[in-house]
Amino acid sequence: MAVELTLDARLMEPPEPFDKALEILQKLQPGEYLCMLHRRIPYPLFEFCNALSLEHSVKEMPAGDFEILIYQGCDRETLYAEGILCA
Amino acid sequence: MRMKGLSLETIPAIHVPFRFFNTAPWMGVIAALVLLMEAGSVFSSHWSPELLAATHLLTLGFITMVMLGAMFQLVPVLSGEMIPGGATVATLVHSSLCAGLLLLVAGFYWQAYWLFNMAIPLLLMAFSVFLLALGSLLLRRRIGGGDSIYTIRLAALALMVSVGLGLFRAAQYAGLLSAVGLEDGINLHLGWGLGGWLLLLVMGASYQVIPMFHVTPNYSPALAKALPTAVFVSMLLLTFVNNGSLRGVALLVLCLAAIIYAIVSIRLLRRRKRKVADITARFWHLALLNIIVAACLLLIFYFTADVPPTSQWRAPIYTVIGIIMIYGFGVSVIMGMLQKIVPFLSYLHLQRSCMTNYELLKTLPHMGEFVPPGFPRWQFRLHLAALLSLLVAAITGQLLELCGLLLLLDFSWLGFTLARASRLYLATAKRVALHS
Repeated sequence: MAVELTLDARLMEPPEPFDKALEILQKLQPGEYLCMLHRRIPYPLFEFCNALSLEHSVKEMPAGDFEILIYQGCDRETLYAEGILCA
Repeated sequence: MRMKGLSLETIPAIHVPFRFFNTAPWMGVIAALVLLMEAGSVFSSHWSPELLAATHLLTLGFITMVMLGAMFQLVPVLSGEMIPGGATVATLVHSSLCAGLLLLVAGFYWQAYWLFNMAIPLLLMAFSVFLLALGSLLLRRRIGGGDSIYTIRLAALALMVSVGLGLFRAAQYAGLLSAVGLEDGINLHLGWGLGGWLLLLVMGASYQVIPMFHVTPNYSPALAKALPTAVFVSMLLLTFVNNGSLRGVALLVLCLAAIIYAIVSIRLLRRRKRKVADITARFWHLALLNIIVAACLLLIFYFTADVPPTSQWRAPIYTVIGIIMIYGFGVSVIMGMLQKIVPFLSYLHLQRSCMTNYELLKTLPHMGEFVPPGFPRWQFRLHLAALLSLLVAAITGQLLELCGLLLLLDFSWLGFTLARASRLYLATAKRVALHS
């Protein structure tokens, strides 16, 4: 079962969301994924995801915030199977 | 929703916005020098050549210079798409804008209108290239950015109209075109420039930067679309309708939209989640207060046109509205935003340069080191003093030398702050490159 690491960045001022997310992502283990809540789509963070060979998914929440899931490619199928990632 | 991340090529290199940001304050310094050297005549009329030179240095040289640089950075971040041409377009736009503007200003200052023969093609190239590159991106239907991109689209159209009218007028000065329909053309040039381009672009940018940098609630989506639409439609009516009553209604709607925007923005800033002292928020408050005053004065000015006595007080009011819109609103917003954007971009780009060696991230300067807190505090004091002295000088005709001096200090301080931040960025980038 995938382990969720949560980062609620909605009340953080730039560049704090980026710094905190990167801190988590550098230590992300197989079987873990980051669930980040953000008021914006953090495009620059996705570059680091690519460099770290991580995948990401963005979902807009009803209140206009975004839920960003960042995970290792090897966990993609598990996350789909558990309904965390939607097709 | 699966999203494509931005590639390194999508966000422009930092030198793209920074060259615009680092040029702009020095255009303000030249405007201050014009005021200092021509203290006796600059406010003799709101069409005095010296005042036109100083005004264009502020509107094109400072405000538009920074806004164009910011667009190269902001639009890709908002839309997730690259502005076609990237750094090449930015180089062409920046160099032709600088050269064209300096020739335009020299033409006004020395009343050597033949210089406009060179200024016009250069400015035409700067804005055509920019608008073509930006327009080709903004015309795509499926781009992100929501209400900000919608508002920036309208702002780009307003810029096109204002520049077109300005160049038309410049051609008349140069004797290339006959002087027909001057008065209305000038008012429309001003209206589309200040009410259109400046107000709309600030609106569009604020929808993103106020919630993001000040951690406030978002603007209401309905209002975020209605306000720029009201501004743009009002400007269209003021341009194409001759009926006096309808023009009055259009101006009323335009001013009300500006006032509502300012009040909503002030209320959002008051709901900041972090109640820490923030000079950029103060700059925003100052700017928003100024636009409320400018809108009220414009309404009084328009609806009392037939009330005698006219000439004694109307001429200074016209100049005062211009000062409040340009220096009180436009320059204030930009000065405040630069204090946030420059450290943010410096930090962001340095982080990206650490992608091959994460250990270097820990060695980067903190964002606050790029613009230490004392710098914006002094900037705000100098700017407020310069604005007040400018208003006193325009109304009373006194304190012109002091006013020029304060403007000189205001822009020099900004130039020094930005140059210092850029130097720290360059030194750190060099160190990171050596260790990557």
